[in-house]
Amino acid sequence: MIISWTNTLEYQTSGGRGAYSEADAITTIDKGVNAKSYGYVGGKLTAKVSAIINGSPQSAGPNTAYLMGFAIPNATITSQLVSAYSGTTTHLLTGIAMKESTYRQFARRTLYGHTGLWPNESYDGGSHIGLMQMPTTKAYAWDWIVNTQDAATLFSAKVASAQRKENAIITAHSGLRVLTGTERENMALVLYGPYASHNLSKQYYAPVKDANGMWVWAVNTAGNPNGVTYANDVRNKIQ
Amino acid sequence: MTRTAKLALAVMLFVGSLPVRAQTPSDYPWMSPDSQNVSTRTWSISQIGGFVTEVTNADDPLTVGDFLFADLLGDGSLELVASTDVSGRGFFNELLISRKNTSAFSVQRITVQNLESLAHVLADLDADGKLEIVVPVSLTPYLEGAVPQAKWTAIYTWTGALYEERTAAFAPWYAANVLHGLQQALAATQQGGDPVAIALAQIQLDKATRASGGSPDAGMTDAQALAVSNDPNLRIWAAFALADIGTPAALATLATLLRDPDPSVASYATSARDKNAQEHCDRVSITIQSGGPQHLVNLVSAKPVVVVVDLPTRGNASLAPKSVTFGATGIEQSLISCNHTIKGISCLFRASLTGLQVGDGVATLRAKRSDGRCVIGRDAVQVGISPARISE
Repeated sequence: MIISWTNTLEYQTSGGRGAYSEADAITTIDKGVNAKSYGYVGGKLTAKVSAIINGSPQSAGPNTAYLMGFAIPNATITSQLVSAYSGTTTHLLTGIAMKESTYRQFARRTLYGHTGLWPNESYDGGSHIGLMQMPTTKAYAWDWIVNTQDAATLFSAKVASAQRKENAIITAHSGLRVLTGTERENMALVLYGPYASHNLSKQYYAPVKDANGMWVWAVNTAGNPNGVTYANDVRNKIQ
Repeated sequence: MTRTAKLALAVMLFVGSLPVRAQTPSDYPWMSPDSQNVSTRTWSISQIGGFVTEVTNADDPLTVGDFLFADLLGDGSLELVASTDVSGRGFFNELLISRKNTSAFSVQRITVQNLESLAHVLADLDADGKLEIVVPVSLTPYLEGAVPQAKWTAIYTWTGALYEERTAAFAPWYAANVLHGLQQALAATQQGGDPVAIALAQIQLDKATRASGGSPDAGMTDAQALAVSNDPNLRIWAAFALADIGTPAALATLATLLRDPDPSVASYATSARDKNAQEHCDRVSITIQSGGPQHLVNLVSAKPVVVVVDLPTRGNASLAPKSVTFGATGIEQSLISCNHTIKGISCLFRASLTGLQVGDGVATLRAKRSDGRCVIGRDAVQVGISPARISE
């Protein structure tokens, strides 16, 4: 007897972000087994079964299961984040993860009427998700390695962007020194966060004149106070 | 094949082999009466992203959340309104208003809270033929992804040279369309009983009340109660509500949060205090006098930018000359000198130190008066770096 299985895996955040519904069909024969595995993906799984028994079509289901997230040990997260970034502050991404998600790829909540460890979504219905609060996609929701690796790549791009902005400011302000690696990371933290700006006057540091009339860098609490505090908070949360 | 036909074919093949430059909005008329104007074309999000990246001279690509072309001022000229993200993570926290001038584009930026859709953003609230811009703005800062941010609805209106926030001028509309909904939201959360949700709804209603012409210290009691909450996030919300209220009593309570035992709360309270210092300034009229009627600023020119500040030349309300800063945000130390003239107080600034960038459409001046009060003024500019394009 041939038994046909239709499995549908679906997920979306509480606000309908990152929605997917993927159906696949498999068959089994008699009491045989046809294993179907799901890797780094989850959601509500609905299975429907049909077969022709003694010439008569029969069906069963739908039966529902939930493929949920899991608790990732903090030490495992730290190890991944440190290996993903080779900048001046080796543990800097741990501060971002703590700031953005309190180190949680998954968080306890109720979705589809089922309470469990669902992807850790932002308060606004899930525009951002996971450890590094990346824009919601299936991969960023369920694969914490992809979430952290792509965030690390993005942050490295922000360090390069910070360097360009630093150069532009130095060009306009004769005598201004080059930033240290740590200071450039502070610039990059603002550019990674929600207070990022193209405006050169809204970076972590701004040029000001000292008592001798020389240009020096100052923390830009006037031009971007929230951005500065975001970056400082990340540093305070480094693990 | 005749010689002429061969030549024509060769020309066609040559032209066909040239790289095709993608069309951008700058290739089309920005006048609404023109039947081929830029708004009649279909543009993708990525095309508009490329366009705004180019006109703002951004060194990182801007991502667009939503956009539309509209005749904001009812004068036949189209503007592009686009919400944009700089972070690369989809925080659409800047609204860009791009308009085409005779020689280039100029862009005004308005800070908003994650504006993914422009639905309901434009409306002619006072029936003057010019569209107001109605946008969500953050009241409290981003703490982490899962923690809500309080926001309020700000109304920007055209003031002759640029869009400026004038929410209080639309109090009747605000009461009917914003306050009512916030009151209902607060009532609903009170029934739910979640203290965080109630606090959020309350401070949003309080801010909306203040912004729309209500009592300047509306919500003071609520903010003071949050300031002694056991929840550090609520104390941070209190800090920003108190800074926004800005009265001496509110700032006194905020001062207690500067010494909060939780370093994160203390840090955010400091940020709130800094924000208060920037935002609670008296508005002053400024006029950029150099660069002709479009206030052209040439970043590579040695000629100073001339700005006249409409303040008395003597007395407590006069300008403390050395306090004047001017540029992209108004914090830039670009001052050369200020002098008293027949027209008022005239200040000269070095263009290269203003932080202005090609495409910027607004410049800001900040200063202190002799009595210690801070003032802020804005005017439209058009910024360039090429002597050939931007005359002096």
